[in-house]
Amino acid sequence: METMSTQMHLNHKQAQMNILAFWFLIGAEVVVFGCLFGIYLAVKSLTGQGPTPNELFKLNEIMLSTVVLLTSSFTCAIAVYFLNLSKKLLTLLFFLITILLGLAFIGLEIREFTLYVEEGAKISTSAFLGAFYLLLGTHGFHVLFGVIWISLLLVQLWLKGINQETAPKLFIASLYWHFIDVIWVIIFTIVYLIGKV
Amino acid sequence: MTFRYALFVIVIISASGCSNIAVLNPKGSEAQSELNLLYLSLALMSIVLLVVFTLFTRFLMKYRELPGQENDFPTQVNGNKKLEITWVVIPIAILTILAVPTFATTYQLDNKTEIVREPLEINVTAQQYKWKFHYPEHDITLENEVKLPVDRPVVFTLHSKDVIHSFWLPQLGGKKDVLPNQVNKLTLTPLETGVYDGKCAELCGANHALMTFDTTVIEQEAFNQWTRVADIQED
Amino acid sequence: MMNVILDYLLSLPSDIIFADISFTIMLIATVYFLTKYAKWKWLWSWITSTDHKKIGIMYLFVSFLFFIRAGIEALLIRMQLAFPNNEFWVFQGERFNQLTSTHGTVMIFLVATPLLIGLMNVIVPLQIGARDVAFPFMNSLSLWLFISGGILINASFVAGGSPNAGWTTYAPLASKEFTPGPGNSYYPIGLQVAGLGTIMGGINFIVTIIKMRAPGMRFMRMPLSTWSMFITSILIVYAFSALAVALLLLTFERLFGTVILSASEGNPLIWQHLFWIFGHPEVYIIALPAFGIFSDVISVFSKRKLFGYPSMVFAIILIGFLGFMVWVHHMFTVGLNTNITIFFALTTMLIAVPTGIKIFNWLFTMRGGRIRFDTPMLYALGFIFTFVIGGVTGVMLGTVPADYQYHDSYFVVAHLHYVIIGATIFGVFSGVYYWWPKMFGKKLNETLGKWNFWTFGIGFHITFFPMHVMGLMGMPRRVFTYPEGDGLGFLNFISTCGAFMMGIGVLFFMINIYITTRYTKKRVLNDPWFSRGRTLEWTIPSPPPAYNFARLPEVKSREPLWDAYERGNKNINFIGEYEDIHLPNSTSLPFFMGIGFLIASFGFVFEIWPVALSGMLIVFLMMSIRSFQQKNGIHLPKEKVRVQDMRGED
Ligand code: HEA
Ligand code: HEA
Ligand code: CUA
Ligand SMILES: [Cu+2]
Repeated sequence: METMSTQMHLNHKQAQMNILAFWFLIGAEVVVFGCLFGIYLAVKSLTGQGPTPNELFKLNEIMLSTVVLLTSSFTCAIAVYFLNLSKKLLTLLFFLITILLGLAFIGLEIREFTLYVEEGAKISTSAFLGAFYLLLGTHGFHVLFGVIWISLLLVQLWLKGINQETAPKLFIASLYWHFIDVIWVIIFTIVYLIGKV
Repeated sequence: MTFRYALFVIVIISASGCSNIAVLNPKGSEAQSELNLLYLSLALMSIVLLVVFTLFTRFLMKYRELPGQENDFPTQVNGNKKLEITWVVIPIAILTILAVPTFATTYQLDNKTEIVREPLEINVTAQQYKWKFHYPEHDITLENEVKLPVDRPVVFTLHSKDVIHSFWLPQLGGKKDVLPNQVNKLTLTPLETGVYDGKCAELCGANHALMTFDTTVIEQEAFNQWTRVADIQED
Repeated sequence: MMNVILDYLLSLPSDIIFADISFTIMLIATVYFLTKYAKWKWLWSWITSTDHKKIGIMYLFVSFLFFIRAGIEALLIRMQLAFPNNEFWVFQGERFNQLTSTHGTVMIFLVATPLLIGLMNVIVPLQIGARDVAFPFMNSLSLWLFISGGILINASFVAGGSPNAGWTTYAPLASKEFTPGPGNSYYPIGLQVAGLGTIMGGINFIVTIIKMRAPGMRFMRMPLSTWSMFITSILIVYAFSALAVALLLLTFERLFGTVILSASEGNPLIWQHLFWIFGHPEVYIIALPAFGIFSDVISVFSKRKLFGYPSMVFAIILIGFLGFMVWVHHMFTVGLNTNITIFFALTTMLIAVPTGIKIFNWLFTMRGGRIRFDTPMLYALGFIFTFVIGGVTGVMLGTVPADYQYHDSYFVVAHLHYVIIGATIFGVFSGVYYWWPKMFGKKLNETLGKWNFWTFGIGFHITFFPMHVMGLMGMPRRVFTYPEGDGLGFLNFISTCGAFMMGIGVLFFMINIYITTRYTKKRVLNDPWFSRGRTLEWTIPSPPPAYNFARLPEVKSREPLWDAYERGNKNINFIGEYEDIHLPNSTSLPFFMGIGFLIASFGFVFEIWPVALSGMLIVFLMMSIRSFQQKNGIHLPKEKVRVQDMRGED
């Protein structure tokens, strides 16, 4: 019995450490995106032969992506709410919705990119486009990573239920998901909205 | 240790006497102001080195463990506020003495292009492993060599056709990068006639080491003569 | 068929043949000895280990191999430059640039940084009274990513050509337009892999230090080594992330045709900013841990408490903070706005103040002490002497107009070796001599240690002091030749002689390790340095058991061990109960992930996408396996721990 409680205690400490590590990871990610934004802003006007931001972006479609991603953040929050209540199936359900929305977002982004490329706006066309694809691509990649990560966690959740091991992991994944969302909001503002004016 | 430090000073000072240390033997006004800063900073840094090395040698001699003291354990001290403040304040003072002329000279050198009157304009184009000098006034182009009149400011307009190079004429003044995407200007004023080495200071490819040019500074009369001849040849 | 292969081999340049042959010989010798002494199992147990001490030792070992390699490159550089207009072997033009670039890159990324991370691994948990690091698995992964990136960059020499645009790899020279070969693709991809490992290591140590200190080990009671490594880890996380973006950018530039850094359509200066936003903090990443080591060493070997502990901590933090605000001092000649230049010149000079605090605190630690001259201390003293010279030339470089003269000349080469070798390399030597008994239970030979120090140290000054003058004579860096006359030849020749003397110094070190390992008897003393250690690592056996501390130590002051001695005790009190100890499983996954990254990287470098993809698949597979693994680890019952501990005490 005593070993059991120390074990739990250990686990508890491990969870705390994971969360702390995660915050520093976010710190690193902030630098990564900060640099990418910096690059983007530095070369935004270097459009060369290619289209300008204003010519390129179609706000309506991007609004759709934004809504999709923001909703996913919302469903993610609900999932965590059920996680705290230890409701396995509901947690599973809402995380599932979250990743489906994430996949939808990736789909929309791929569609957007192919559209641009068809219009002749390739990654090598101009410095602006290079920075644009680099920034959005990195973000999109993060979304993809989140989707895969959460899916793997969901399998574990399905197999093991909510316990000291799966709960902190899901919690961290949800924080990650919100972070990606925040980045998207900044992208939306700096790249699309300002690009349009 | 102080011995080696003394050697350092002797080498530098004796070297400044002989002419082969380019930076210490300036032939242009910009190189001269840069050298003045070098000397100022060297003097200040010598003070720092002197202080540190004196304490260092002294403490090492005085407090080394002598035979028989192996089990001797000195009293333990935490620190000393006054001392610690001292070595914050004095370095700040030294740095201030260094910073003020540094900043003044920087502004002066960086803005020289706008101040100088009637400069000689030369367009410099760098391209992997060669320098082209174009005199727009006289429509003369030279490769890997440049002729300058003495005592007249020269504004070099620097541009690169490929990678980044760096334009350096140690005896006339410090360097300026030659960029492909931006035009930089560098003003130099030769004060003595002679032939000076110019080089490329930024790694630019296989033959970076060979990307040098000769600078000939001649009397103004001779320079005018030369441009006239060149002009005539053009026609 | 044989003929074709033979023809191909004979067509290779002689230096590559030479490198291939020596590599093959070393490989065969290694395999032979491993088989002869039946050591394969033993090797595998190290490869799969998650014990922070073993990982640290592997870091040290592998980085030392890289040091030899980059050191030999330095010797080749020095041979080519020994005389004016020299033509040594094949090292002119392109080949020389490759030498210089890999020498710098390997030394900074694969020698200086990981050597210190190795020491960090060995001692941080011991100094804070922890049984392990926070994430043992990730720790092993960091190691294998570092090795994998390191192999990539080292292999470039024989496989397609090395990076050749300097360790700074400025665009547009580094873009495909001007250097089409694979060389400059090795650089961003190899460093990306190694850098990823470094970031993970940084996070790992931050969490370890914040969360795993023994009870009573408050922040302001941590030894200075741990403090400096803590701040370094924070710098790593932020600086290496900026590097990651820069490398990503360069990778895209070279593989996918973006034009962000191109001269005509983009802005190559972006690279310089990003690189130095990383690059300057990096030089403090490799200096701060050394400062920490010296603080411990100077205090122990002067038998004095560290003078001004709080201000030492404050100085480290300040240096770390200012380190992020000085990067433009590498770009003074680029032609930026004067106000920007001035601002960065000011911050650059300011860094001298906290560094000065440290120098004077070290000096006054010695004052009133009883200074012993064991090898770790010799290196610490050599450090003070050398680093102050390097530091003040740094301040001279910060005086902008004068830097117009120094920049990209041998003056800078002199500065950088004075500070890096003076701090990092001396620091690592000092730390290795100091903690060797802790790692292996034996002291390194003192006589050979002194030979090592004096030849390396004097050789160092002979090599690099003349470079100051060479710079002032107008010798640009990264040149493979220089003209006759001017007296440059003489100074260069002296410098070359010094480099060989340093080489002899390194040989002494290697001989020392060999002789110590082979002929010295084990002395399992807790505290081998005249029994006056101060910090927790000296309270446990040497080498420590896998779990380090059988019971948790009682920490009531900054120097618990010293205080215990003062009270007449033989050791500190251990207050924790014996308990079942949980140790992480050893695991081969990080090793295979490293292999996966290696395969993927070769695929990327040569742009063979199926190879790249399969490498990434291996990585991904390993990650998935990991996420489903049972992580129970090994349990040591407390009875066993108690018995072992009792045995260790007598
Ligand atoms: C360990 C690595 C390390 C460290 C610690 C430093 C420390 C410093 N460096 Fe150095 N530096 C490099 C590694 C390092 N550097 C490298 C690798 C390069 C070349 C990169 C490349 O281009 O390849 C470089 C280049 C470099 C440049 C660019 C030169 C050029 O390319 O034109 C400059 C310019 O300002 C500079 C400045 C400084 C300063 C001011 C310090 C200060 O931190 C030094 C502070 C220390 C002291 C000053 C001594 C002790 C202080 C006292 C005793 C107090 C009293 C002192 C005074 C009042 C002055 N360094
Ligand atoms: C950790 C950092 C570090 C270290 C330790 C060194 C160590 C040395 N460096 Fe290096 N150096 C750099 C970092 C470092 N360097 C950087 C960053 C650059 C800039 C690169 C660039 O411009 O891009 C540079 C550039 C540089 C140059 C300028 C090149 C140029 O501009 O063209 C030179 C020239 O002399 C040089 C020399 C040396 C020498 C002689 C050593 C010596 O101290 C080496 C001592 C070691 C040995 C001599 C090895 C000894 C081993 C043996 C002898 C073993 C024998 C072998 C077997 C038994 C198998 N270095
Ligand atoms: Cu042009 Cu170097
Ligand atoms: Cu710097």
